Amino acid sequence: MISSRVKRLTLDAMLLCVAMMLSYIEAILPLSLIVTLPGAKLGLANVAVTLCFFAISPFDAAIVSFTRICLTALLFGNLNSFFFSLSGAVLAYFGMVISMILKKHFSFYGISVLSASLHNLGQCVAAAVILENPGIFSYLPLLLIFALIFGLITGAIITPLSKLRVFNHA
Amino acid sequence: MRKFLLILISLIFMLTGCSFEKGYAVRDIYAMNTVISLNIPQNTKNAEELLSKAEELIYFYENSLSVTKKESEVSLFNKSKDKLELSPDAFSLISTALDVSKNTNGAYDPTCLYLTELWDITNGGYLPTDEEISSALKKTDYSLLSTEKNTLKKASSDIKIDLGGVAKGYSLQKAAELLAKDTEYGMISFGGNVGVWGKKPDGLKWEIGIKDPFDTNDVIGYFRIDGGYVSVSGDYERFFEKDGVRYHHIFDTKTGYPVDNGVHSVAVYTRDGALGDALSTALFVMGFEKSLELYESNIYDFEALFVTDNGLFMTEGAKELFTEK
Amino acid sequence: MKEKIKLGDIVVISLVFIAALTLFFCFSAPKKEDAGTLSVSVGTQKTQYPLDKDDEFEIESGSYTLKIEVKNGSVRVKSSDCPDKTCVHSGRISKKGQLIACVPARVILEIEGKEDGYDFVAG
Repeated sequence: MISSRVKRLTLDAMLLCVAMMLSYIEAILPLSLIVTLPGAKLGLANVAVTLCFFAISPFDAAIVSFTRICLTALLFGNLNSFFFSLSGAVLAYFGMVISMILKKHFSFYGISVLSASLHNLGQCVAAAVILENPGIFSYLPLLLIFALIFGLITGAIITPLSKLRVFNHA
Repeated sequence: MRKFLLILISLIFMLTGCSFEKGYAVRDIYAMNTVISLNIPQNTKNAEELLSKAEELIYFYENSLSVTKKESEVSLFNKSKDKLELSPDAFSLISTALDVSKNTNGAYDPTCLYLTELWDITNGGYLPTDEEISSALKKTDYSLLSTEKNTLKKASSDIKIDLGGVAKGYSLQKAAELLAKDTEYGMISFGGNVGVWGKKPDGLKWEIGIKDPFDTNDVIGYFRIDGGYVSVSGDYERFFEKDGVRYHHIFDTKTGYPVDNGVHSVAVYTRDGALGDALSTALFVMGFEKSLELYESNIYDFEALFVTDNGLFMTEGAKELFTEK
Repeated sequence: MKEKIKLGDIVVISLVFIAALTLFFCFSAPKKEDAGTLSVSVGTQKTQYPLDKDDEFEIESGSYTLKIEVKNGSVRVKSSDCPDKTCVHSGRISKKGQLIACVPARVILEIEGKEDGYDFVAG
């Protein structure tokens, strides 16, 4: 039997990989052709982070999320995009903490929608502060609607994945 | 306890995210008889030091190129009998100037000093007699200038040059290049000529308003550009009025009088500051039709916008850059 | 255990939806324009004045005095004892990127921070 620490580390690494892949797919997807909205993203990487949070541990999720942001910024972004994602991820994490506390009342659909919305809110705040342009908040309503739709989609992806055997007793 | 810690860490992250600031470190300079405003991002390393370097560079060019500085190379050449060896900067500038003169058949002419001194528009203006004008015109001819190695020669000792029409654009570009080396983006306004470089943090293109010659408090529209130089020549910039007639500062070196062809301003977009500066004058003198021939000849890479009595006229590429208000 | 839609999900989804709608109506309501500021530099000294308040004041620089007028969000040099008076003839400015300069007095008036305007105005 492999020790549970090794298993956990391997799972973390794997999820980080998956998150990176998903970030990459997002970065190359010509989403801007459909919606010309700065910051509008599918939030696919959230699938990995949310899985990690609930199936492994919140601590592991924080590390996976933070590492992903650093790496993504290094590979596909810049300093500004780093701060956008970071503050988005911090708020999204906060949302997961809330749903963890109230876990009886939440399914992955609600969790995804909540963290996606908070993620977009966080990005908006960071963008408004860094660019010193409060006008960016005018995008917020649309970003929230996107978060709602994409949150439901990611929720639908996470639900079956969370039942995979690898995540049991991680 | 753990949750509390997580929230605390989150807050710290958010706060560090706030410590970034957008905004410009600005340096305003008075040189070359105009106002220059240098703008670089506030968060640039040693911003003030960098601005001081650019400021010194501009003073250096002023001392070397200004016709009003007695020890400038331009003044020394004007005093010389037949030739003067020039610094690389001055030489490169005069080469651009002469090249534009040749290709525009003298529409831009760096030997127009006698004319500008005669009309004296900077000091309130003077309406010269026909004799005065024709005697000034005799000493105005760019073809009497020639270059050899680093030396500028004149075929007649009377010839005097004034690089005012290109020196601003040249210094603008040199200052912009100096600042661009150590900044992500920035902009310079150089007495109505504008130079921009880099990508703004909001990701948008630069929007350079073009003054409306009929109402100088307003703009007629704007150029949306990635980077480069916008030079404007307008009849509203310097002029005087006498007996109800307006005399402006852009002269036709064929007649010796201010250009009167229906053009009120020309805005030129280039990647070369000195060229843009010379071209804005030349195109103003030539009018739209002839300018279009020059444009189509592809000698120079530029786009231009004309504001005339009959409305706006643009080169093909300018139609994509320009948005009318 | 986490597959059925639960009460919390519905609450979150409706909250986000309501928030989006409310914000949308808030932002689409006519918003007050940022009035911007007037930045006055005298030599190397810089001072900011609000543009949304009508005002008149004098600036002393060197041996010259400029009278500045702020009115309806625009600025002009009302009078000046400088020799060339270019600043007075420059008229009014009201858009970001525009500036009035008085070379002899070394004074620059610039509009900053306003939404309505350009990075710089050429000409």
